[in-house]
Amino acid sequence: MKRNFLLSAVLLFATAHAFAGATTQKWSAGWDNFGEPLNYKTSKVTWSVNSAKKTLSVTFKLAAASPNKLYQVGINFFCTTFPATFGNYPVNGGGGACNTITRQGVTEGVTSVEIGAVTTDEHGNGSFAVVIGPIAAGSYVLEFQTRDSVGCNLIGGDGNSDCADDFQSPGPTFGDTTTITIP
Amino acid sequence: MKKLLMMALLLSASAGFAGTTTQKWTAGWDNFGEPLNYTTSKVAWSVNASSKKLTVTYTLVSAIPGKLYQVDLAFFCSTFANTFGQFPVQRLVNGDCQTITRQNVTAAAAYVEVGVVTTDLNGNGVFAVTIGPIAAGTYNVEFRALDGAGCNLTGGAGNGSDCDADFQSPGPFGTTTTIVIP
Repeated sequence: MKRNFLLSAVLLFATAHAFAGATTQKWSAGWDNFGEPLNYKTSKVTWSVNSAKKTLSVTFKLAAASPNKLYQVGINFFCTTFPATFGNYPVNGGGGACNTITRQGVTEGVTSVEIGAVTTDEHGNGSFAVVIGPIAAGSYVLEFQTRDSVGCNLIGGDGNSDCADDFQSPGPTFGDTTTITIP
Repeated sequence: MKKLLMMALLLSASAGFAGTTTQKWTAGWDNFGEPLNYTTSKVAWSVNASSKKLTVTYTLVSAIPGKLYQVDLAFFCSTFANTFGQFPVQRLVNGDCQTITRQNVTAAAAYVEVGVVTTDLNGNGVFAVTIGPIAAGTYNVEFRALDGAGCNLTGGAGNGSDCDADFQSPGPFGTTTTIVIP
């Protein structure tokens, strides 16, 4: 009996250690477009790190956005240099020196990865979940982003004609970041 | 008492959730040269009879890296409702399904676009969706992955070659899966 209890305690501890709790954060408008519809109260980004597997799970949820629309979702890293890959996804531009851009009056060095698409239904609701990894250990300073269409830096959409950001998280200002640590 | 409660819970759960069906992709029905690991790629679906919802998971393995594949359901029908769950139905004219010929088979169909598989640097990607509540009925369907994203939707490549089907399940054209919503 005692041994069983001890074993359960060890298992619980190991599980809690491997899975950090999920963090949920809101979307903000922009940093390029500020008029796209969204229910900012119920829309969200939820993420968690599995430190044993070195994976990052992210769920992008949009509520009351434009109905029947494709929104590309990804991660925008604030950096000076960056590797060529982030887990199993290529980094736009192939890594190296990060590009400096100015949005909302803020200038930062950035790079990005495109990881999926949210397709909205007739109510403008949609979600997309992804597991990224294994990811190289490090502290990543980032914003999650939702673009105004699909195809930016990917094959099979409308190309790089519309890479504009409709929503950022956390924001509200370009450069307001979340730090994710992969041990 | 505890045992009875457990049994009741188990019974209600099994009544609500039918088992998951997993099926393979086949090539086409428009394009036949798109790369894919047909052994490990799959479509998995299940019906929750109590909530009248259909959950579908589309998995592509070793497709083209960094590519968008729009995924949908193609219904083989003569007439169809304007919506399937929370999604609008495409290619209906006054409620009639439109006749097309593929792989030497002629059939009438209507479509529901539900999402996109985005592949990683290995050509792997997954997309899961829950559709519903869905009107009760028997639906004869093929699952499809299209050659791009934007077909009948805003914000993508529009209604060009990206509407072509790279992969179908089960296939070939007109060979369907029957899904029953009670």
